Amino acid sequence: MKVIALLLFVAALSGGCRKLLENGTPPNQLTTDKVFADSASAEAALVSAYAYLNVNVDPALNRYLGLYTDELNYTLSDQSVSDFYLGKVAVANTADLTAWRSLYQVVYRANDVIGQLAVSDLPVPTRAQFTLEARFLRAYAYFQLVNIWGNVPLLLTTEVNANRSAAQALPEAVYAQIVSDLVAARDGLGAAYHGAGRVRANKWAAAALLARVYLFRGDWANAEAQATAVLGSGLYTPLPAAANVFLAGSTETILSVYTVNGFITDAPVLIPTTLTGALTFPVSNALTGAFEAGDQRKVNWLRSYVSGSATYTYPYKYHNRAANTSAAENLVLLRAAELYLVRAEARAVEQYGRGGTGPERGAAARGAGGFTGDVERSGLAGRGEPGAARGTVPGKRQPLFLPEGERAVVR
Amino acid sequence: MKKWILFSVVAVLCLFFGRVWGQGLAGRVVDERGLGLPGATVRLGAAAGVTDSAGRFVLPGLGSVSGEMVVSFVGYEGYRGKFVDMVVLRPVAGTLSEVQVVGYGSVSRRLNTGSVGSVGAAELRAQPVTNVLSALSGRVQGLFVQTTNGLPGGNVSLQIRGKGSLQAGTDPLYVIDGVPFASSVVPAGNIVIAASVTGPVSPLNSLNPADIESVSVLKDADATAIYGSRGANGVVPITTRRGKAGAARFEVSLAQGVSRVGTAPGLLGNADYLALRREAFRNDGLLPTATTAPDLVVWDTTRSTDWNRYFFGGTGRSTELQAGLSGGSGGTLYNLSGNYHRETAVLPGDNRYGRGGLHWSLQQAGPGQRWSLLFSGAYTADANRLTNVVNNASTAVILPPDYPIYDAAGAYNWNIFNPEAVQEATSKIATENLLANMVAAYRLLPGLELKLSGGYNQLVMDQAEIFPSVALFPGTANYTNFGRNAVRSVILEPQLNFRRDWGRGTLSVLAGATYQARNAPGETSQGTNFTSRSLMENIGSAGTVVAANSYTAYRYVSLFGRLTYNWQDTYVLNLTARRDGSSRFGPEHRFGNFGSLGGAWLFGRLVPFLSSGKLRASYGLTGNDQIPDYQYLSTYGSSASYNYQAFAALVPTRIANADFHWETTRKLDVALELGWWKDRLLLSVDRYRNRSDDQLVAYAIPYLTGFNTYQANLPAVVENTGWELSLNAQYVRGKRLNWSGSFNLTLPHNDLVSFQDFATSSYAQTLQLGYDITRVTGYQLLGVDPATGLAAYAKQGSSPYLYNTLGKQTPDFYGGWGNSLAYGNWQLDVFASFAKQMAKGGLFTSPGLKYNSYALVLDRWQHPGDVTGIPKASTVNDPYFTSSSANFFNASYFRLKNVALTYRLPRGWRVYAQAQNLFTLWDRRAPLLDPESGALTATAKNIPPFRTILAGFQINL
Repeated sequence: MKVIALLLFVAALSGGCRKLLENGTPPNQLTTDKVFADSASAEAALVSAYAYLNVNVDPALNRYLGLYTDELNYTLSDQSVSDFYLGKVAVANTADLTAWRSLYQVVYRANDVIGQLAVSDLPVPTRAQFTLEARFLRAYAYFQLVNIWGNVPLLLTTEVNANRSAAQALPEAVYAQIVSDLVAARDGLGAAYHGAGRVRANKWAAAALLARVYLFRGDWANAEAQATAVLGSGLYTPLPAAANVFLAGSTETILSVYTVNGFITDAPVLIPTTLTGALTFPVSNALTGAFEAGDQRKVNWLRSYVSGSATYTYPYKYHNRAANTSAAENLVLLRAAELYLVRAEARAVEQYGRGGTGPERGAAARGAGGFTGDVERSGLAGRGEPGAARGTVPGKRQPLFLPEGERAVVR
Repeated sequence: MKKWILFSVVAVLCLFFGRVWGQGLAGRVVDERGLGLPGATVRLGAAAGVTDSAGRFVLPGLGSVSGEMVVSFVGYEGYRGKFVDMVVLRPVAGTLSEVQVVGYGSVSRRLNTGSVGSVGAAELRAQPVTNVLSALSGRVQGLFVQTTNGLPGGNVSLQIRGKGSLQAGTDPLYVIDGVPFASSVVPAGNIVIAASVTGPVSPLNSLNPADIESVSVLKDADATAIYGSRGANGVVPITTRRGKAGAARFEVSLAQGVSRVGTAPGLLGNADYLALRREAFRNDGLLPTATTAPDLVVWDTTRSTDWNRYFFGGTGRSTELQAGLSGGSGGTLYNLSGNYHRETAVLPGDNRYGRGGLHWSLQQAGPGQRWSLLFSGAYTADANRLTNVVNNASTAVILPPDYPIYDAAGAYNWNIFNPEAVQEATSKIATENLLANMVAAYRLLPGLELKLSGGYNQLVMDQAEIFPSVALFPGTANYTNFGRNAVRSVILEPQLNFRRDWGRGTLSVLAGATYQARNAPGETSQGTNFTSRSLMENIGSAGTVVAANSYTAYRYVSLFGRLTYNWQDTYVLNLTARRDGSSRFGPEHRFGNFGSLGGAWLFGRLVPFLSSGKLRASYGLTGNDQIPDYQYLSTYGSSASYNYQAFAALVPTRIANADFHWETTRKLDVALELGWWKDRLLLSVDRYRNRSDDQLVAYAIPYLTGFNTYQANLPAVVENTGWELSLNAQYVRGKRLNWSGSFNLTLPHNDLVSFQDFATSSYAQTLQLGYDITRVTGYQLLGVDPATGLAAYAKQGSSPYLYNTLGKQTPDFYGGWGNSLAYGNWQLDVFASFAKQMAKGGLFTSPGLKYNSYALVLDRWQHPGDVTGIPKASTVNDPYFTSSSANFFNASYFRLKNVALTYRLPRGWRVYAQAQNLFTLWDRRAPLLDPESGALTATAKNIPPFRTILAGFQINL
């Protein structure tokens, strides 16, 4: 009897122990499975990755890359900042670490959206839309990572125990993933923007980033094809006047990041409050000198003041440094002008090969009509042949991208 | 849930099943406290039997009473006489016979294979304490008790055999009548803890000390492995009072007492303070102005206030009333009691603490002792209202002595803060505690018993902390913190006990299972900008409300067993095992196995000059699971800074790690227990070594995973070793005069043995391999330059280095010394506790600033050539000074913890006087309010324990 009773106890316990331990999920905490069981909360999780680009990534990258590429100077003495200006970033540089972290945070958020939606019960179209947007964001972050740091770990899930000891991947592998994500996004997303404004990736955003990726990989034919397709959509042309490029409603914008109060997070650092004293991050003479006289972009996108014997120039693409809802500005990630440049460069190389001289390539670009858009805006069109003085096509990057530092350096 | 229903079904089935067996004469052998004595021999005429684990016996085949009954049990006075079904045995003098409550049972101290300390009702009742835990101070070797806040409701921390965890909690597991009891109600880090003058509130306050029969302290693996994953930090089973056999007895006792803070810090007097300040200005070559030195220029320097006395100099009055009915016969034992306690605190202003409660227990045994039922419970409610002088706690006692409460215009002086205005802030804490417990036992066969134990505990704590504008710096918005936190816990434990003679010894087997469910919902909110002060407890009147809630559900299942073989009271072998499952861990890591092996050799009979001797040893594995729930879940939270389009953004807030499990502690314990002169002198020496591995920490992970830490097990080993010594002596044993004494001493040692990748870890500076994990770090003061009077600190590079080892928090040794003297009807108990330890001092600034300082700054550098350790007075604070070795002090103490004098009258009436914390020997030069509670700082509200003197009487009707 006692043996039977004992056995009964053991039998009673061994089977159901696991079930007895079920404690559910805490109702006051938003566990990941709950977030992705509802389309509104899943979308709220997805958009936080976009917001992160403005709130964290841009402030951690833009000005440091501007310093690194001599677009900006630095007038204070914080070593973690001056390292970038001097072009010798130490391994322990905290600003470098912050930039690295911020991009991997975007990767994490995107991966979580992708991974969770794969097992979610949400309607298929919703899952596809959000997943493809997340893949676009992941590609965007990896593009920055691979261009800045070279060999980087390629993480595609949020498996923490695998990720924490992940090895670096070769750039080829990272690029292959970027292209795969972008092709999927281009083919799967529609031309319409999700929600108000142009603040969510659509088909053309994916194509535009893809054009840039192909260009960087030397795949000229594809780069040209993608650029042509985007420009041919008619959504982003004609280009607006230089003063209006960065306003929230700008036609030229292919993709921008929404700002809650109408100004980008990094603006208060770059745009001075008062026009006296030394500027922390003045625009370098090399950059101001890269413009030709009368270039409307220089007129609109740079501002100067004199303090003592020095002249300080600061970037003024974005005007708002505090809340401004009447002329709101979003952080522009992709805009049509770049695609003219991409197409021009691609055509130039296709025509003359990479060994061609600057003037030849420039001529090719002009011949191909590549610059038309941006040259018109510069206000230089009609002043005769732009000529060899304007240098090589790659040289055009600087005036085009100034203060969008993160794109000036990539290459 | 279904499974425990199944248990009940099995239990009920067995009840019917079992009826077939066993006819005979049955009864029970218990000690004075009603605890069953297992293994007692019972003879009646020719029939004989042995009691089971609950003290029950059956004499098979006997239908009627014939012959003389003889009951014997080692260490107890035997019974000889006519048959009774409830035999109460009294222990022969000497503590070896006492029955100690251990996990899922009790065992005589003589035969115990584990390291167990116990404190009985007599020792508890001699101490006028509000929280039963503070009555344990110095009583048990290996148990370090620190009353960190003497206010009613204040926290008392217990540490059994040292701190073995870097980050996880190290509270022992409290088990009240078999029901695990929460060691905290409000989750750590909550606003209602931070803003209360009592800090964290110990839930054990809502337990009436007079209702407690015994407190055991289980220390080694043999005693704690049966609690598996919760046993690493020791276990404290608390047993409440039960009815005693005999005629109905109605007891009433009433006592009244006064409390004052017993220790005072050595602050500077007004003259010394003013001289120091003037010297500071002289040294700096400055002239005091109304802005820089109102204490010298504006305020009336002839007036002086002792601010320590102002804040902590009050007298608290307490009243204690207990009434109870107990008794029992014919298989029924009952105990019903009620209690009321109130006290006022030493703080200025309106302070009241009130506690009332009911306690009940009913035991009924069936005919023939075949079944028994125990039904017990307690309900306690307390309300604590205190002046909440927390906002400036760290500067309270060190206001300048000439600091005026009112300025020249008659308004409150807010230069530093206003000591009178802050008293307008109040803290209110109300707690309700319901404990209910039922144990049903049924004897299936002689020696085989089935038991089902179930319990419920509900603790609800309501808090409100009211800060009206008048109590805050002018211009600060008023606010109230509200908190309502509860813990509800259900436990169900079916058990089988089996006992039989086997070979020349006795085999006892316990098999059982546990199911526990605990839910803890909580809400806290802060209302600001109330429209009117009278509406500050009405959250609807707040201008802004910020609210948060918390919720945890915890499930725990386990199987456990114990096998004890006692070979002729000479060799005892004890094996315990537990398989635990806890919802606190990831789905794949919820189950774990624990166990221990213990043995004892009783060799007293073999050695001529010894009356008893025991060598015991145990080794085993226990776990620690004191981390927050749900760490294995990944979560999102809202964050307005990432709002996007029309969406309130959700951002990841925790990354899931499914791969963490409990910390494991391997405990080794070897002890020698010796007795001389019929056990009138008992010596026990324990050597223990606990090694805690798999430390649960917020583990640093690379940022590319999305987060920088997650909950994980760190392969770091913390070792606690130590010696424990205890001596019990009966110096005089006579008809009228009895004098006995006890002494215990613990020498603990803590060591961080290994740590993977220590040098690159986030602990590299705060901890040190091969050193105590309670390491205190700071700047090293090298000395004061005799020429300039400036302090010099040890540097790394060009700046002073913060992470020098100053010392540790673990005491070098601690213990207690007690004496008990009885003469005729008089009884005097005196108990002292002591500790040798270091503590961070309360120096708030370097000397010379607008705060009072302690007497030690009188030794400061004053003239070139002075050789001293205190730098010169200056109006500029030396930021390193207060975090340096100059602010780390010897906080050793010898405290006359308790003196109790009782006069016994006939019929059990008694009159008594008791004193707690009567006086303390310590180094009064140390800038501490009290050596036990430490210094008063902004984060730790270490208000000294009170000196309480109480007188009362008990009458029986």
